[in-house]
Amino acid sequence: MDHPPVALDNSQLELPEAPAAGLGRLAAALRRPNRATLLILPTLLFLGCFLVAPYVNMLVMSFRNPSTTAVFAPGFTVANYAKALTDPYYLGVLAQTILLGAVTTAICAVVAYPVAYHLARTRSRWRGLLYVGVLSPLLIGVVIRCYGWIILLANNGLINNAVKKLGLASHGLPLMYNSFGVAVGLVHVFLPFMILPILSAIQSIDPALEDAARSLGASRARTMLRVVIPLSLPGVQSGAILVFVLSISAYVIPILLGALKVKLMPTLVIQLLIDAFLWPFGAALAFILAATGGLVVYLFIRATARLMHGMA
Amino acid sequence: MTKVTINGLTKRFGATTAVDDLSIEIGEGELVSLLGPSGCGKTTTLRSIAGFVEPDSGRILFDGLDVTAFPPERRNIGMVFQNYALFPHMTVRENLRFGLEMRRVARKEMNDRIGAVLDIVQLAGLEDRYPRELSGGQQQRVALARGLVIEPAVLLLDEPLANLDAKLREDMRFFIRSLQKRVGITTVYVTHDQAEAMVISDRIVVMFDGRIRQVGNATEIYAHPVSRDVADFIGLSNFIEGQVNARSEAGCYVVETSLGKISCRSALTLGAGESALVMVRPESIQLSREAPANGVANVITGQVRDRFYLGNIAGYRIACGDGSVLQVQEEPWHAGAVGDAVWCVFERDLAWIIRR
Repeated sequence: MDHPPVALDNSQLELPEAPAAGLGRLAAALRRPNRATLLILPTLLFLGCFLVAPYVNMLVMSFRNPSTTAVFAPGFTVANYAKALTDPYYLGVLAQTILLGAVTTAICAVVAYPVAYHLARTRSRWRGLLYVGVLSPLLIGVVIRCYGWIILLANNGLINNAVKKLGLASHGLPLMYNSFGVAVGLVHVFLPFMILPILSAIQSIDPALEDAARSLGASRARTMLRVVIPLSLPGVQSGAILVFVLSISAYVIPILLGALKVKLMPTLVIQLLIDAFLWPFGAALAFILAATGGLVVYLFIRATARLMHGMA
Repeated sequence: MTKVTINGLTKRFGATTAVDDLSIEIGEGELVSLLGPSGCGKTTTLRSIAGFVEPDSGRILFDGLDVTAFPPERRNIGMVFQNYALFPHMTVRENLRFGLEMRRVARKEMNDRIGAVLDIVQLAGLEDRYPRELSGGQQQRVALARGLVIEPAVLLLDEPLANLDAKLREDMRFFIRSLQKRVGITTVYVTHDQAEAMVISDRIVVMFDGRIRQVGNATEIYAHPVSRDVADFIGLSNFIEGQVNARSEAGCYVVETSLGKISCRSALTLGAGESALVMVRPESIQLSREAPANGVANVITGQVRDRFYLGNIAGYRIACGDGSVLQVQEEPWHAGAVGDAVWCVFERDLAWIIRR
């Protein structure tokens, strides 16, 4: 799997209650410690040390003055954010990243839905095998998976050799080192994150509802459009959020399948941090990506909530 | 109104035969119940009529039109499911409108029909509620309304009352029956509850192992069952084994049993010496505390072994001379104590011979 250096805090998306309320309850529990509270302490410590603290550190870093001789110079500034948000180059990369994430998410949803529906409704004894098939992208390391795609998609890879031999395109097709190649790699690995939530949403729909729709005169297609898909929207929603958030923060796949020809925020941030050594500016870009991603997710939830109005 | 004909319907699931060469004709406006234990094929039969199950052989005709190859959406059926299957993301009105939209009914007519059917099921005013905001009984009536508003050829009900509590279930039986009569729609009703089938049906089809065992109205099924399993499935029975002694008059026989001679009726033609099973319902037997006068058809002597009080009746288990036990029910105000000597008295017309 991709382990993105800059990621939205996924766990926050699934918190059932507002963080403030959760903290209040936690504080109350800590005043009267009991065994149950003690059980979550290791996790809290771990998250505090390795998630919250680095985030805070990055956030502070993004307001530092840049320096050519040290990690940062003394004093604080908002110049990093100002530069990132006014320079068309960085805004372009941000837009490209969000767009690629959205396209990946959309393709995943379209590809995943039939698979999820089939898995949810099938009573075949090969069901278990199908499950393994769905999870298979996650069973292979990201580098190996990408080299597999390189063998297929490269300019002199399997597909292009076949295309050239068959005389379909004399110079082959541009399948890699572009957004297409990156999208293929992203869709492949993130498909399970779309299939599984949709699958569980469809499983919770009583098959009798489909029978009822048919008995009322709806064809199979109409039944899907009017009953199954609307009722499985919560699954599509959570799958879409997961895939989108993972896609915009993916690093290894864009590097291997896009080289540096596809400019995306995560690759750019790493370039700035490691190659250019611009820690404050890199940190600011990372937070802009996180904030934009969060905003997109928020708007998406708002938009889909209206669609799901009235549902249990 | 539509006549439904089922002709030689057979459906196998793997090695098991769910429905085995089933044929029946359901008249216009008739309400027929399919009654039987779970796994008897009644639901498979219903789902075949609906079009959800593709039969291996046999034909289904609506008014002479062969619909066997039609998908459910082209059969013009109204179906009510055990768990109602209301669309949870739609309000009551939207649920009712669904079938009308599929039929491209004009908006004005749509609203008129929804209003009318909601009046019939007494749900006017709840149009904008979601199913989860309704009680079980209300959901049940929405499901009925949704099936009826499309004015289907046939109404199919699959254990529609199974999820309601006992009290409401009894009310809904009468409600469904009067609604069906008022609308005058041909109806097939699947249930495993014999009382429900008896209250609601014009005719009852008793099914076992995918086959029809008996077809008749409630009285025929209860008083004159054709086989021991039908008698056992519907109500309590006493069974007394014996041999036919003589035929007294048309349809009347005397059977020699270990409890003595029993006069009884039968639809069967039986010869002397043929073995026979006599069925007597517990409530057909009267308990007498003293020896009855001569002239009574059947008398069996015994001793009260158990007595239990159920409010509306009192039940007895009577130990008879040959060691067998008779079940008897009578009005609860009769006194009776364990150990009492009693005479079990019943009329010839209430003893019924079943072929063994």
